[in-house]
Amino acid sequence: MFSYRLRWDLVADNVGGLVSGLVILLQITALGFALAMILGLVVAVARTARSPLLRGPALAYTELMRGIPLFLFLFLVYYGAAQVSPVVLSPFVAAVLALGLTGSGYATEIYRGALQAVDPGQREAAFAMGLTPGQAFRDVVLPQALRIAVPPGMNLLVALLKGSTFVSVIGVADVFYLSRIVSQRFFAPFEMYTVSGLMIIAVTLCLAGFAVLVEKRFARGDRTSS
Amino acid sequence: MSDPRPGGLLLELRGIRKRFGDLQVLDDVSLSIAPGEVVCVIGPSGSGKSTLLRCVNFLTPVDEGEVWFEGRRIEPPRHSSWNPFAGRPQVRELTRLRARIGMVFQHFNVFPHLTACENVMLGLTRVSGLGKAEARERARAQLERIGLLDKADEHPARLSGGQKQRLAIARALALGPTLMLFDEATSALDPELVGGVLAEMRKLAQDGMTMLVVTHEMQFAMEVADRVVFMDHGAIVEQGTPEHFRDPGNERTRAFLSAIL
Repeated sequence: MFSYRLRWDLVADNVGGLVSGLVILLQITALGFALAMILGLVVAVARTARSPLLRGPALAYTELMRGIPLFLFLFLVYYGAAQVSPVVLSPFVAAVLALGLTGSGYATEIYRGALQAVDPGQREAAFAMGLTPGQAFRDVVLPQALRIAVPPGMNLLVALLKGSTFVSVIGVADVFYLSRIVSQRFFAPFEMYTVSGLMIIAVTLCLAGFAVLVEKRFARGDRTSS
Repeated sequence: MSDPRPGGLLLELRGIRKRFGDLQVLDDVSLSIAPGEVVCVIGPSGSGKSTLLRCVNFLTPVDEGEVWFEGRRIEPPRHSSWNPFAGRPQVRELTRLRARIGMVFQHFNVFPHLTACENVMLGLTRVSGLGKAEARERARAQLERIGLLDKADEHPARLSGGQKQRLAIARALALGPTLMLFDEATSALDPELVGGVLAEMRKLAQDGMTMLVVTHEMQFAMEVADRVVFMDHGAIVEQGTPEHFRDPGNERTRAFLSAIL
């Protein structure tokens, strides 16, 4: 008969570490997401530009960032950058960069879809009243595109949170880093990884609830019909 | 380019040609409008009426021909497919010009993310350069004029089609245009809402606004227009006073009118 006493006391002993590990993950996710959304907007604008000189590189960037596995990219940014350049990144910064850059490929596509989903008549109306192309984008097209981008943007946030759980491979002291150390020392992987996983799921659920709130908030002005 | 200023005309289109792929949408169309004149363009679907209207403010750039407005030739922006910064000076000039030409669309195109008041304010702050407070005041005055003041803080989603179209008219008028373009402004409206918008347009015509109106509302054209233009297959077939169109000379005009009346 299988008999094994689960060592939940190990979890209890490491609650402080687990929580601070989770906080690090959340910081990396939040910063990575911000980077992805900002970069993504810039690239999406280039992606929808008239000139192939802008469109081409933007397309290449998007495909590259979406194609590269995060796991590999983490190593490349952390170890690779230090090898070929004088820049030595901390694991935290490397994690934010890797997450933000790969995320920006997806963010670009989210923005592109959203920008294209805005009724072309909106831009025409803005032009017809004498707004410059820049004003038409900023005041008319972008605010409507952002509303459309909210639901897929929240999906990306959750995806990045899950992606962030890879960062312990470059030595970021997150929940899984601690879990690995504790489970290896006491041979108790089940307890630590289960609790770590539950913590992530709890955060994901909170994010989903938050997403609903954000969507409600943004839906106040009707976003599709004019 | 060295043409003399067209005497006393507000808008002059000369030899406009436009083609979409294989389809010649406008074929050598010339049309001029004097200040204060109300010109209604009628014709079957696909005859090029809307395209002609959109060529005036270059929402659809012409392939050939000249557009003169207030005595100045409007240069089309020369976009380059490679240089993203090409055509900037023409775009700037075009932007200035568009502010003087109001346009009302078939599908309203009011901005759904802004309240009614903000819809009108946007042009006032961005194009006319007014401060927020003054823009709000003027926007509210415009809304009052068209009877939408009580909806000032509502988003367009809460307005009926007729209210949206009247809001679009107010938005255009707020900028003090010298020419108003109406592109089938009542075609997307429920029948019971058409009257209110037409009344707004009639009022505008009575106030002396120069108007170029693409419409299917023959009765409106007959009552309000100074001149009616009949287009078919991308060309002007016949034009004249509404009286003239009670007994038009051209066979195609007669066929069109008998089909819709």
